[in-house]
Amino acid sequence: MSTAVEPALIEEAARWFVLLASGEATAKDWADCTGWRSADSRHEAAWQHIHRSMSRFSDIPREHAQASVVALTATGKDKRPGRRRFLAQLGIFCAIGVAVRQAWRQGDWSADQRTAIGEQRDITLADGSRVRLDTNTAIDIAFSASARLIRLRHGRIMVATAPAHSPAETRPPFLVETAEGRVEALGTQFVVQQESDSTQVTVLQARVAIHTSLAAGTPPILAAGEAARFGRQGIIAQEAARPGSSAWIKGILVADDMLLADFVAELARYRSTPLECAPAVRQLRISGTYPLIDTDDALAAIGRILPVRTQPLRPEDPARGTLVVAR
Amino acid sequence: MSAVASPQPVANLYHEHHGWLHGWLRRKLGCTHQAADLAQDTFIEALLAPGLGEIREPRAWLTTVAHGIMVNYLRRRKLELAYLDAIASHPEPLAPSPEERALIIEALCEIDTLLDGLPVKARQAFLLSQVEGLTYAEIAGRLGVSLSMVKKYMLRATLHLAGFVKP
Repeated sequence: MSTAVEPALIEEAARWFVLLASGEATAKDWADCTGWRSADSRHEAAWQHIHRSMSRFSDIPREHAQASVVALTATGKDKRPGRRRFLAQLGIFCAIGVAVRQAWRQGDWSADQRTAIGEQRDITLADGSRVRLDTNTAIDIAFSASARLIRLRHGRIMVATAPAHSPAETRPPFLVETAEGRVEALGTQFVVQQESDSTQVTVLQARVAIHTSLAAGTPPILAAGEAARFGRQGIIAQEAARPGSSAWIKGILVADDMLLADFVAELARYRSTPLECAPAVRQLRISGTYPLIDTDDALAAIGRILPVRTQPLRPEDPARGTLVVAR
Repeated sequence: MSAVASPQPVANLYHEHHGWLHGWLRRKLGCTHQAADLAQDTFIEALLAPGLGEIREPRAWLTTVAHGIMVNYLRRRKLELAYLDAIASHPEPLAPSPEERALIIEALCEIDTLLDGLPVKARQAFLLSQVEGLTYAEIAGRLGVSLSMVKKYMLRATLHLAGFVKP
């Protein structure tokens, strides 16, 4: 930015702008704002800065305003909807409760099945259904007469339920439980991932029903090709499954105009030492297919495509992690 | 690093990879004309790229650039369709001329970019205020949130647009 206006004044000017834009500002509000602007030339500069950044919005002709807002609202999307909202809604006691619960869930010592970092494993369940455990994943298996239940403590699994032996056969529901709720298989293949404060579900075949722990009413149904993130209160975001989002099953990471920051975070899940992305290159975009089995190979490949290279996270100890930086 | 690549590497790049890139884009877009346009845009970008002669994997590089161009193009088309959809179901008939329509789509694309990264509700509140001209009370009713929440959304969006960085 060419004119350096102090951030604190920008914030003040923005507050004036928000006050006057309400549609119910009084004459006194306007006069007060004028007074503030004329009190100091830097105030006026901050005010002008705010107005310049708004100039594009007055280019929409009045009669097209409504249609424009509808179109722009339809194309808007939440990038990381989960974390902020979730934390904002939690009181501190609740947060402590969740932390304790998480610590218990993530404790691996009692899990029925688990994988190490960088490991993937297939298991076959008593009913013939198959489960693929991704890197650093732990599950408990609890089959009973009333439910075929898998508790996902952390990590990511792909479930392919076995078909019934005959159409008449009734079997207990197949459920995957996470910290936020249960995903019910409706004859199907799907992926469930436990994230820090939400669960991500992607349906590969048929459908699933999502029973979040605090929501009442009819559970939402997700069909093949759809993905959703849900919290305990309900679905946070639902969209078409990202192409290649399930390629991890084949040990591949498919990037389709992916932010380098997200790409690196994904690779990091498969590495036993930390892997981080320097702020200067986080916004770079990457496409292509990369091996998850050999993340060093994947890192070498991005170095050939993007202007980045790797260096030790701590220069004094190269074994303690890796940092992706600008070349 | 040179500012503009010399014409020779671009000519080579074009000669060797244009047909392939066009095919790649056509498979992604399913339309040969759009693919031809976007392949052209990709090579224009290549002409302006610094250090072109040093690119070791031209196809990977071209796909990354072409992908960015395609994403922009698809975003624009998505906005255009959303807009046409909106005017089709508009209470009063709206029939902008092709020029008028192009200008509006252009403005919508820029606004979409400016608002990129804002949470949906803040985006919507701000648009209702600044484009549609609703009062905060009306916006609160429309979005089903409190008046103070609308003010928070407005401040968030205003600071976002002003490029505000926390001191």
